[in-house]
Amino acid sequence: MKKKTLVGVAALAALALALAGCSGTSSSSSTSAAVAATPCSSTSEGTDITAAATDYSGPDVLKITQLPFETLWATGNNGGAFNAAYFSTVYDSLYLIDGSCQPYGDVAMNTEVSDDGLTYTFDVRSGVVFSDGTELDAQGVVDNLTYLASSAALQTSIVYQNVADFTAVDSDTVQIDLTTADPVFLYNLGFGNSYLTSPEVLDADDDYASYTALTEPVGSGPYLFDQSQSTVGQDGTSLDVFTKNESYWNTDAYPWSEVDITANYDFTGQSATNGLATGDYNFASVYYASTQNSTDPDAQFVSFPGGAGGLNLVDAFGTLTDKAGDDALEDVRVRQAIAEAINRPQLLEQAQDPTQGGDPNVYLTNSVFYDDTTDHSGYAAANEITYDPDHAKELLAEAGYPDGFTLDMPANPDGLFDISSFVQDLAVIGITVNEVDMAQLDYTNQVFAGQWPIYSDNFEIYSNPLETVQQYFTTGAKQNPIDRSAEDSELKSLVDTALASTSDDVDANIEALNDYVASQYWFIPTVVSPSYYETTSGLTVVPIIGYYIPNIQQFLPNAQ
Amino acid sequence: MVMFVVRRLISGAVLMLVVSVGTFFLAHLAIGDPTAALVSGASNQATLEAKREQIGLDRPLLEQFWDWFSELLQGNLGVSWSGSPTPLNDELAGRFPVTLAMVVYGMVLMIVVGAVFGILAGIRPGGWWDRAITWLSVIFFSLPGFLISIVLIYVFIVELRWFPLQYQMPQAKGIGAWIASLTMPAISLALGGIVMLAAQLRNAIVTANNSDWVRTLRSRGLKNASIALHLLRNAAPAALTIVALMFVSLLSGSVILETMFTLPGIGAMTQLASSQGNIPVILALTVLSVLFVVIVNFLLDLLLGWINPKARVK
Repeated sequence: MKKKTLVGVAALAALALALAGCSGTSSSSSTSAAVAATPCSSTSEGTDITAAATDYSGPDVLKITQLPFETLWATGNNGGAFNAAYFSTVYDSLYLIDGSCQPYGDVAMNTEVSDDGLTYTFDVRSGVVFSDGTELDAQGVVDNLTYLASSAALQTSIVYQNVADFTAVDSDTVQIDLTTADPVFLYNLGFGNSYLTSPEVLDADDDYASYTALTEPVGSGPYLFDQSQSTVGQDGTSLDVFTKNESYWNTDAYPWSEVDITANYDFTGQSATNGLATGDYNFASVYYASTQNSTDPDAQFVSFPGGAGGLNLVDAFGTLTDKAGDDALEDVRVRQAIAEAINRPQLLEQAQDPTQGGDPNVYLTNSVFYDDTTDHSGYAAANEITYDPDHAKELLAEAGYPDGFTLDMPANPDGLFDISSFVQDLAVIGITVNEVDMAQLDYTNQVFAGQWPIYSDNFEIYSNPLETVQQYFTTGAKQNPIDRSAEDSELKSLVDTALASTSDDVDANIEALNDYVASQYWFIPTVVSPSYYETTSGLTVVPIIGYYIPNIQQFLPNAQ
Repeated sequence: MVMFVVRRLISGAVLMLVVSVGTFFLAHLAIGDPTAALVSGASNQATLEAKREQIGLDRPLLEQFWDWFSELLQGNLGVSWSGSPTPLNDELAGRFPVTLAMVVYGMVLMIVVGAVFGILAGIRPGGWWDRAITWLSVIFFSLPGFLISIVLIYVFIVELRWFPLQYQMPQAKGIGAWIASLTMPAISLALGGIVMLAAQLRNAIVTANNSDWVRTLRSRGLKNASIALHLLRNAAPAALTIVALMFVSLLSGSVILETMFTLPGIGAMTQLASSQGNIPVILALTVLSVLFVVIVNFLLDLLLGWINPKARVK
């Protein structure tokens, strides 16, 4: 079989990302003290995880604080988002993502991909030993992958959806066969979906129940979990202590004698700010206010796009018959009218963080928010949606709604989804919003279940445009509760084409998809809110979009 | 006395039963299906369905109740729905002592300092100490506890660095560090109770001091120390009632304080479970809290019965 190396895959990702402005665009002209990082830092290309920490002079103990996460310690629970610091500290991964958003082999070495993109082959790094004494071999990797692919948890079900088979070719070579080429397969594996545990604790005979119930991790990572110094359980404030794994295959790359992770249910961020000031922590994900009010002259801040608010017009197909206004949303002119009625410039003015909105290049190329024009007046770009209520009224009249109509929308006025500004804006063009107030739990349950045709959403931003395609348009994805691809054959064709792209046509394919999506006015993003990392003196962290809390590999000196 | 104890035990058990069963159905009624909140990230319908099946929400409510209740009768509080596989018995065995230590520390501060303040104010009514207590009562009753905590954190932890912000586990950091890490939360918790207890004790002493029986004792030539003992015994029931009430108050006050002081107790656990709709955790915390309130009230009743035999027949 003719093969090409991982370099080819990386080149594909690099092409898309370079076009996305990931590697070369300038940072925004923020008034914040934070350094605004581009989605993938251009200073982080070519990360070499094997590099030893020769000139490190930062703190001896890495002390991270974050919000509580939902699950420990089963690797199938996804190592992205809130789990990243924990999993990357105690587990090795087949692949990881570097500072330029490219996958690189951690335990997997010499990866080769067949020309048709259906077969991946890699060598298993030697000397990888789990804390229970088991040494990793190819069969151990296959056992892990089989478990991960069977996991119903979160993103893993999407990551492994195209896998046909895992095979241990010999004791140190693994082959993965796909049913369909997946240009973001390695990227997704690197994004917290290929952490490895000891095969001894994976019980393949009884649907992994005993493994999932493990309360202590059995990993091969750079640090070992120390239960004696840690709190029991994860439901609430917790402290987890990890001591250095002196027999780790790359121990020189990790200069900290200990890693402490404190999870605290503190949405105000005040506890993190206090802890950074007292030295109880040396890393926290903080709010904009912290970047302005910090009195620590040595504190370092870095910002990167965190997510966007806006409206998700999820049912443009008349699927929901019991909601007022759903029929009207079938007409693209009505959806465009709603988009043009939202006063986004005013929303930006009202934003407390002046960097919100920011540089349009934070919108990843070919994402649903991408706009290749240069003047966005600071608000979220969605292919030049302008605020024009007069034109919006004309569009409504053309669509047969000169007097407007009534639209059902869910609302959570006391929580994250206060829609009062949308209600006011839509009233200007004659659309009366029937605001159905509910608790946040009900809100999220109902919108994810596809029970509302239009709702206020927090759009997630991904660092890879093809991952954006997967997360927004594939069946079962969170941002796609009423399956647009199933309802719209043209969309499905464009999505399939994009996800089967080669390095030669990825840009054109995704741009075509993006143009079509933008023309449908399914998404009306408003303002992007940056995320902020704060580190104390001597510690630097490289942001990667999607990691609200960074991997341990994102801390210098490992993330070069 | 035996009948008194038996009555209290039975009423405590009935109270626990009613609260536990009531909480089960109210929690399910109020929270409904929290699956999406429990499964964060890129959840999809298949994931939600799998989670629903895993936690048993796909089964009839009465079936769920019986499973939970029969396990509870065996002393098993269940497993959290949030994904952490740690049995709640184990997790609470680790967390509840943290909260209890803070509350007990706060109670000790409240009783010792409150009693001293109350006695000092009571034996010199109208004096500067008495006036100071009155003003402090107004201040600490007016200010919300979290505001006092913010000031304490800023002054004593962030600026002066006298106390650690982080909870210090005794087995890892030593008893001294552990007590130091609980001191500010305990003071925050106790301040309101201190002035309340002091005011109560002060009033009881002043009232008793002006009563006929004290005048009679004085006329019989008893020493002040002996009279003080009589006064305290007379004032004790009211003060002890406040102490019992404050235990409940301190326990519930820990919810906010534990988050502010990063304590790994049940406070933040309660907050998180409530926001997630994590019913097994809510039920476990309710059962445990009610159990401790019942125990404290039981001990208090015994104490009151010992101090005042008339209380035993009520």
